[in-house]
Amino acid sequence: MNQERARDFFSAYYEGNLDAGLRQSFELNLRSDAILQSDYAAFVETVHELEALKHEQIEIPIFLSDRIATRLELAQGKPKSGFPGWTGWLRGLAFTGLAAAAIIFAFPFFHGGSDLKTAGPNLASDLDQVAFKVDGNKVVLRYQPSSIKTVVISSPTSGKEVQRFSLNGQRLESPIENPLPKSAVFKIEALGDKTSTILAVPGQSMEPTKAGEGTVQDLALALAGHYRVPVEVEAADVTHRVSWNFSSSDARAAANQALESEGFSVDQRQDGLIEILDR
Amino acid sequence: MSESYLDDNMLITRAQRGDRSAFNTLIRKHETRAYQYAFRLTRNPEEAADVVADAFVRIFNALHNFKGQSAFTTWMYRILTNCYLDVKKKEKNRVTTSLEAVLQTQEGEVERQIEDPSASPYDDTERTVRERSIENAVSLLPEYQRAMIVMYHAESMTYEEIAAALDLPVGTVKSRLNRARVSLRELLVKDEELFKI
Repeated sequence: MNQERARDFFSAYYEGNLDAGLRQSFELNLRSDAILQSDYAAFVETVHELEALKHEQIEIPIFLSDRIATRLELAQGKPKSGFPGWTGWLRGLAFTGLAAAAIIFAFPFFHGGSDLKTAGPNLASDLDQVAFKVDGNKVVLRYQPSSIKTVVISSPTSGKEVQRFSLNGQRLESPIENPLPKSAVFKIEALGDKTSTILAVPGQSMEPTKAGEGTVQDLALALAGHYRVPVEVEAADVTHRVSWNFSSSDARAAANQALESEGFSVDQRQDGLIEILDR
Repeated sequence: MSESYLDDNMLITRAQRGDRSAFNTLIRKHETRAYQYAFRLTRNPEEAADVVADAFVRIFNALHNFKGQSAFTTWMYRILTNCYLDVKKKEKNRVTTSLEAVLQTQEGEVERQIEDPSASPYDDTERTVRERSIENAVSLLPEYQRAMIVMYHAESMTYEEIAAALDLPVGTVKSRLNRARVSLRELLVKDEELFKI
């Protein structure tokens, strides 16, 4: 039995499964061949070390359930109305334990590059930055970068990633809905861009608290909760401290009152979305 | 009752009759295990999640063919392994791009953003360097050998279960697994030599 042949029996010998004749021959070689002895000792050490594999702690990504649900929907060619019955629980699971648990990212639609040609010449440039459209009680995230981009949606408080889209010329339309009572806040970031966007999405209930203080991000959350309007913040410093008192019945006026002397501008679009920008 | 106690065959039978919630439960019950296996093969969270998602799509599409002759998990491992091998095959066919390459955009050149898959300093304090080298060495094995090593040593599957999952004779599994362990030893020796002072 040469060394090569003997190596073929390492596992069987180690596990005690080698039949008597082969075992005798193998042991004879092992006793007389120092290299084989050393190889076998190293082999046994490796097998012991492989035990460590089963003890490795593997963190399950929060986007896993959502990824499975989305892929199943895509595979079934589900229409837009497919949301949320089939995937509701999966997405719910995806956010378990996350501060930003309230949000549901509904079925994202990816439109191929050919849409660029048919949808009009301005579309690509209109959506070259992350944008939002209010559609009933949902906010639709829309984005069609002209280069390869990855959009990451995360919780700005915990930093945990909630959703990630890789785009290569497609147009993304991802409805965002918050089925829980309280408003929720998210950070939307196109990787490689200098700025990110904060989006506060109202919950299902009106939050009665009128006065408060905190960061601009906290204000956005409070506005969304009290006035039940989505609030987008595009500012370099969303941690800037402000105080507010929602005495006005109008969301824009209330936001403006809190921010007018703080270097921020406030606007409200026709679809109701409040935009807060640093001037 | 905890979902982990729900019988796979019962869930599959219900799912085969069109009960979506039964299939949901089946996914929920096995997605963690599926992901851990996929991650051990890919060492990449994104790729692992893709492998798992693709596998559950295949499982859903082929559910009516499942006759219960093997355990659901054995079938799941087979599909996961096939999905993983398909991903690797596609990667090999794809034109590769240098890590140093830049992307050309309308705003000029942008440095490629690539996530560093290696462990954080925190991870290093939690796990020994030796464990890391074992994992790295496993990731350098050819795909099929890697799958076998992970199935046996990480997923604690028996030779018979691996044989059923990979549709191979038990003897072939044993001999290939032996070869994989010997290769792993060689990779570890190279690793030791590389970092010898």
